[in-house]
Amino acid sequence: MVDRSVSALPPRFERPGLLAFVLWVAAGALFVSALRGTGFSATEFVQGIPNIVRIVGEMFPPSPDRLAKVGWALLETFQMALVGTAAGVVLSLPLAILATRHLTPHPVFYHAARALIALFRTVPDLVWALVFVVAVGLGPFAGTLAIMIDKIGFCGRFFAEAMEEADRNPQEALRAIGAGRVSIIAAAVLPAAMPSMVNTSLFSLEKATRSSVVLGLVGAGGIGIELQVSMELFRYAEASTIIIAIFVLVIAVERFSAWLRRRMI
Amino acid sequence: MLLDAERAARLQQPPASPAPDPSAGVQSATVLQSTGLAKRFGADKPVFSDVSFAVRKGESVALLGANGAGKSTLLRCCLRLIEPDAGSIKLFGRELVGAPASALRELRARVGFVFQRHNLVPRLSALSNTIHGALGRSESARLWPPLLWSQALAPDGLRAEALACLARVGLADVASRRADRLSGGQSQRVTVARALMQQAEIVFADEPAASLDPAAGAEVMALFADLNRREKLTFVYTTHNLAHALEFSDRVVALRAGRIEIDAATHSLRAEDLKGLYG
Repeated sequence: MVDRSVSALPPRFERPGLLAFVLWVAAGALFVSALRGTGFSATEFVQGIPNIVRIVGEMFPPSPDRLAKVGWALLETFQMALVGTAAGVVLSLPLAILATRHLTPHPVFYHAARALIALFRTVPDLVWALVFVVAVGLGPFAGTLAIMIDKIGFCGRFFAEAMEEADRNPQEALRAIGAGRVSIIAAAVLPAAMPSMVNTSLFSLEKATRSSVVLGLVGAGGIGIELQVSMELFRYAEASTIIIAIFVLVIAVERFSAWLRRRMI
Repeated sequence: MLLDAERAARLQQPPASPAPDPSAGVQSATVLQSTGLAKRFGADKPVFSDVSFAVRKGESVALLGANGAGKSTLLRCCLRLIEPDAGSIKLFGRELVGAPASALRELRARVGFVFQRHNLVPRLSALSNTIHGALGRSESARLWPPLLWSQALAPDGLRAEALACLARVGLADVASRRADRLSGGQSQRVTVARALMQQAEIVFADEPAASLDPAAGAEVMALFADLNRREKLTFVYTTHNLAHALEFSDRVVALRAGRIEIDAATHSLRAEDLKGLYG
């Protein structure tokens, strides 16, 4: 018996509607204009390959000449990341509480805190570094402040989300026995949000270590300035030493934070 | 007909005179008085209306009713965890409805609350959760709240007191164990220890045995009865377990169709009087 009710196979793709068709065409046009705007050229890329090969060739073997100076700059980079992250994590906590819908004392504080977090998050740390270089001068302190502001934005948002997602039942239990808002935050919200907050803080440290390398390029301290000088003076062997040092530092911080995450969460 | 009238009279007979309070040597005080309480959610039909009952010091009151009868809502309204639409609630002689936030916190601090699913902070130890009972106490107002977050930060006196409260519910040996590693019965007993730490004068319990196996449920109810008998702690608890209500309470208040159907001393009731509530 053949089931006559089974019709032909449906088409693999639906025919797009007029609006969808227009949107697809507009997206394609935007991409093509972006290719032109950026001067994207496969020919030029292929022509540049010999230069890349030459630079990479000159980078090896890495030069040990300024190893001590590179080591100190690397330490300074890590110090910037550590202090900037720690200060950012601490300062983001009260801001995150204000930015948590059910914990904020008033909607005005909620919206103000969310706006401040959005500002800190959307302005890139390199821009904050430029501002702080002007404000406090060249050096690692400017970079540390830039990292701190960036981390207040980053942690503020994720801490607030962790607190909003924390189980409400223990909070209701403490509210029922007369605990005040601060007590409920301290005794029920923070313990519940802690694993997520530890995770966010460690990820912030990894992110800060990577970004503190770049901040040196605008004079905000760290190893970035050493890399810039080496590249501008065509000392590629020296530059490769610095790149390897950065690689080792970033990997070490990532491994350490992964280990700590396993232990604490 | 006569039998029905007799039965109706028997089911609406709260104890005529309050049980004596040995500590005071006088008639027991009313600790909770609800008058004309009503609650409705949105445009739905009322959960209950015109609910009036009183609980005297040292009593153990079972609040019965079918699913959706409004027992849990009533219990929460009595602490204004859910705002009632109308009526009055007097706790320890003070009006709760319309009380400002500070007075509300002060009154709640004198009432322990045991939830069906215990609602402990899972990552903290039994001892830390017990210490949380002190959060509403007046002397704790002088302490920085984060000091009561965990037993590691709490003052020595509070740690020792919390351990003693755990010992009173038979859990001193699991003081260091995380709440999420305790059994259901142990977790429920920790919430009782938290109420003892709170120095609560009355304990509300919302289906305290419902999420436990029968043995653990009976154990928790026996603990309530023991604390009620030995320490004169007042209990009001909701339950579906008629055997628990008849065995462990002094009085039964039962809701049906949004009104109080039964308010009578437990010894005057028979199991069949209660079965009608679920018909």
